[in-house]
Amino acid sequence: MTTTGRNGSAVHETVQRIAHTVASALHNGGGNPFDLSASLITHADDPVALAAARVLGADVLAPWAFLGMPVSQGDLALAGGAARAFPPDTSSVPSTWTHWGLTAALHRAGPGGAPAAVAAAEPEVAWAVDGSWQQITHRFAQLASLAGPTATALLPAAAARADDLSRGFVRAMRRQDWVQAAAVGRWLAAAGCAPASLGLAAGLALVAQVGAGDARAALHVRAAQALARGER
Amino acid sequence: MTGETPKRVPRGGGADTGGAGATALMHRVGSRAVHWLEEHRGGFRAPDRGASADEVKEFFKPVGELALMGRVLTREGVAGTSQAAQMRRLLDFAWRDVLDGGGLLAWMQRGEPLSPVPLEVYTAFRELGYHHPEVERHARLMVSTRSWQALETLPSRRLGLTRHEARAELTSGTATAAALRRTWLAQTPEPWTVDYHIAYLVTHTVFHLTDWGARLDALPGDLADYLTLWLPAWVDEWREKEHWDLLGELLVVDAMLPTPAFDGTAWQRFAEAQGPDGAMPLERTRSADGDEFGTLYHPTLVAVFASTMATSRALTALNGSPS
Repeated sequence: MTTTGRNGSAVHETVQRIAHTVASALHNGGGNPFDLSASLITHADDPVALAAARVLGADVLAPWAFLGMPVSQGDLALAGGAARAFPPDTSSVPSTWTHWGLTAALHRAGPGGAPAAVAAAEPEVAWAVDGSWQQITHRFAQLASLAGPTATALLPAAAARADDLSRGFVRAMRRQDWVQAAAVGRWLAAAGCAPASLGLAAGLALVAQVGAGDARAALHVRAAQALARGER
Repeated sequence: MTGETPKRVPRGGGADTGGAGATALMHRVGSRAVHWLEEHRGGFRAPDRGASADEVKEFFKPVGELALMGRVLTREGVAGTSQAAQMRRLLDFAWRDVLDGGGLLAWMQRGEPLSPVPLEVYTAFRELGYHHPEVERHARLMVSTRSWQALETLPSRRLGLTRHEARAELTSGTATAAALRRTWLAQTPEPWTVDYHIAYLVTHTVFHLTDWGARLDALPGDLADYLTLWLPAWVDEWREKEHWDLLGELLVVDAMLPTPAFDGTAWQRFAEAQGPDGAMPLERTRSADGDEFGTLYHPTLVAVFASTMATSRALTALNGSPS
């Protein structure tokens, strides 16, 4: 999936708006009704909204997945539309996994799910065995929307590379790549196996303070903190 | 990922020596660096007559570091015959012509009785067989004062002082454990806070604690585990930033661990950064102007250190003997 020019900029802005809304919901808890599609003030078939939802994958439904907040019909339509509009590129590990994650979340979120929400077998994780710690960090960071309360084969795969992902967290922090740091930190929180000396909680808190200018970083931090608290 | 496309970089790395080719590359860095040091030995020159104590101290630093590397090279015994002879000639020159057979150290002790600098320079020379009784008598007296023990220094330097005292046989070294506990490294803090300055504190804590590689078993297991876990991230950062001096020091620390990683990519880039004359630039590439010796001598000495320790540990691993 590629987006260019003005359209790409619009998708980027919508990704930020959705990520910000989801991050706020994860941070503030389940007190208020959550209706992403209503807050976007757009049609469920708006191509920009669909593209943005596909970028964020299963995180579009994170308030439901993490906190059990009711999911609106509009949000199910948005997620289902995104899954249909952007089918997986089977030659790409991130595309395959994030598409699977989005459809699996739709399937779990209820009978109102779109037709695309059919439970399919998990994609393969053999790639997680090999690869340098830098490569593994890059790849798992792309798949952070799958680091949620529902375990997949990615979770033990991440746990098996915990030291390498922790090195990647250090690298991302030092590069001030806040999105990658938060994304990898989210996996470490999900797997619950960060080395004690890493100081993951403090690192994530720092990202929340200095890196939240990118709402995707804020979203990953709030998801990681929810996972560390053991919610749901 | 970065846009750089390193040439002739071997894939992998990891917890093996990378074989004889990698060991040869590590060894070559050191022999070329020693060659440059001998070619430029005039840079270790003695201060002019009438120089102030502070000016003299500036001359002490390179000479003291040369002696440390001479000690490492002699001790590890992995240098070639001509390389060892070059280093011995350098050390003789430094002791005789620069330090006036130790007389310059004694002169400074008389002017600044409490300064630890003369002892810090003297210890390695003493281990290499050079002696000056007056320097030792003075150091023995000052070490026994409460003022010496109360000196306000960085914890890693204080650790170094306790080791200098022990190496010069002035004390038994029992203060080492307490001095270590006060260092940054001993607290095993968050590794993502390690910046340029903290990285040097870490390397020097390990250097001092192990007497510059002479007693690798002095590194406690928990600190060895901590360094094994996080050193790859720091090596990666300073290789990417092309800061060869700090990268070299981190590669020394790697070679001091129970199971060195011998990062193939980092060593390849380190070797490629070295000039054809054997000088190692401080960072990125060599600048055409400025004080050449003043900028180059330290990273070049670090290259000797990293090369010697890594070659020694790699050969030990190849021979299968316990380290």
